[in-house]
Amino acid sequence: MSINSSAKKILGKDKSLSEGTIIIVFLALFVLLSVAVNGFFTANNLSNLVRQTSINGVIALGMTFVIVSAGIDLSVGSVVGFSGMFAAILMTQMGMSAAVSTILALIAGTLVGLINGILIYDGKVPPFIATLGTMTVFRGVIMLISGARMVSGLPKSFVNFAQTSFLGMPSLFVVWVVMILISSFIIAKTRFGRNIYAIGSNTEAARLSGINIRTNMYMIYGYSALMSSIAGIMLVSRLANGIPTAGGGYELDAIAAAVIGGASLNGAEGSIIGTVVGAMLMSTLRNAGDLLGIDPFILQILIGALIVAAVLIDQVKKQNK
Amino acid sequence: MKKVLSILLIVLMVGLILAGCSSKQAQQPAQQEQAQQQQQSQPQQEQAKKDKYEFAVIVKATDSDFWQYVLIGANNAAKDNPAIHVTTYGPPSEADIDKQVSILENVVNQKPDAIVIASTSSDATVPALEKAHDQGIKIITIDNKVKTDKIDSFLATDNIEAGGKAAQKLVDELKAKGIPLKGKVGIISAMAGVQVLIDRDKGFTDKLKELAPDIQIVGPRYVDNDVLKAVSAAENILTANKDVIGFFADNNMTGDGLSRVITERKLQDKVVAVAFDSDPEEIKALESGALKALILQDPYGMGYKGVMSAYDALQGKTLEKYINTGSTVVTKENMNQQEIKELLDPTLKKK
Repeated sequence: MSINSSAKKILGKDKSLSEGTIIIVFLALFVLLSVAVNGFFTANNLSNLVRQTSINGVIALGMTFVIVSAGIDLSVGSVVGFSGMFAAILMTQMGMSAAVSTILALIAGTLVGLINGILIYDGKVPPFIATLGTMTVFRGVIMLISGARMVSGLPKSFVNFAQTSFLGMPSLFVVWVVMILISSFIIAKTRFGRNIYAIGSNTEAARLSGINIRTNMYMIYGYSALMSSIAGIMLVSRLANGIPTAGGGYELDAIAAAVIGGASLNGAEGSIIGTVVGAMLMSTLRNAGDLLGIDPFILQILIGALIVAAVLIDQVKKQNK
Repeated sequence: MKKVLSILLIVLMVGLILAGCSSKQAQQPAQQEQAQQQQQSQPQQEQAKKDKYEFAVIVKATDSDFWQYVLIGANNAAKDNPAIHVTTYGPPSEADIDKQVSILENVVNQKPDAIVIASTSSDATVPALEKAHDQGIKIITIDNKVKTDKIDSFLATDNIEAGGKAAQKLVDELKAKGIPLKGKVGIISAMAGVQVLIDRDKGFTDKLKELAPDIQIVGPRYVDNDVLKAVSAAENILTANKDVIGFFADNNMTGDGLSRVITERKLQDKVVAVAFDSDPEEIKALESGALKALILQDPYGMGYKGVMSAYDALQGKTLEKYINTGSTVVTKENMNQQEIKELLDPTLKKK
């Protein structure tokens, strides 16, 4: 399994990988669709496909960090909406430039992650509850600052970004690729990356071995929020509006991408490459469904079944060991 | 080896399911292959008339009666005209704006002859629609205006006018009951930031101010298109204000929630409630008097006329830039006329 060994390299640890299966499934499905579905394997459709995956893809990277640490982050969808709306308001009502608004929005969004970290580590609130709280609070903040209205009239330069290409690839996809590289580097090459797995495996043992749990928790949830904030900016650019409901439900798509990619909610399992493939697999099914004109309800059933199947296969394989 | 085999099996199954679910199963792939072969053997030419047109109809959501009615209309248009083949699409819910954009991009990639779309956002779908229009695909927008001129026609309810009709009806009912025109009227809105709802609420508010300047408006309270939250919102408005004389709910979900509260508290004679759209629950409320009137759009007409307009455009006819599909005030008195019955429940017309 060359994929497994290269993935091991990326991870820098010698653990049996559950994402091997899903990568093969994805590649096989991809080949099958390319052969069987008209218009699937065309430059136009592939660039649509990666653009459609990029936003959830970026959020799922941060979610992977959180899930590997045995946590969960339900606030990502609200952070997506919040950072996007924040940037949109700065640009339209404060007359700030696109660059300044984006940077301020990223900072504001990342602070939500810091709040999560404080609640979870210092407040001892379970991650599920803490992030459920911030998810609700910040959806309210979005409604409050926007007056629950769409914000339009964004600068052309900002809106056009989602439509542009860079090196022949959609800019949104390029952003995702950069984030994938950064996330892989953090996991494979930094102490922080190793600490995430240690915390996910056994927090108490990690603490005793001298890992500063507090700092790492802040960083894990901060990173997740930063990724979601970036996704929020991408989304506003793609939709050309600040939308009060934007990002609703995205937390579930991000969790699904990570889990399909082999991340375990019990922690210490999961990888960047797995999550990337998980996100691709879901959007590929949706994309192919549209090309084939499949009943959207059937498509939803398929995607739900895929989430459960991915974990089931994983469990069966573990028991057979 | 076993592992690889089982994986291949899984993929094959998924592939088969995908292929099996394809609604255009039998004829479609064959047709497309032919078309492709033709394309390869000869440069594509603008043919004046084809014997089969591919139409894509994209709605805002698949989870509501209203959009299902639009689809019935669109499908009926295809059944009445053998030259039209309609494929329908839509994201799971109206909040999934980016999913709708993705669907549209994928549809444009398939190069249908025409796209009929109810775009949830006025801006987000513009780039893809303009690209499609530039490729010669006919574009008909329904229900919600899109900020581009590169469309062939736009069919919608005039929501400001329709909201005004709701206010007019509410005031008429109050007068008929002899309730003085002062006190409060609550507005329950399904969703924040949706243009058609903003228009409805604005039309209602402006008209009410004009007809009954002494009435104070409470809200709009936004309820995420959730019946239960609409119930709570109506209850809370009643609890906080002792002098509520009327309510306006701006779609069917909010109408359902509102009518439930009025029925539970037996306020049929004290409070005049008017709601938008129709579904079985709202129709029951109309019969019981919990709702005094429903303002109905014509979703079936939007779907049917949308497809027919696209067909006309393909035949080289010039279309009106805007077609008002109209709104109708339905009351207990007129709800049994055949015409209104079909407006209330377009499934009666399903072919």
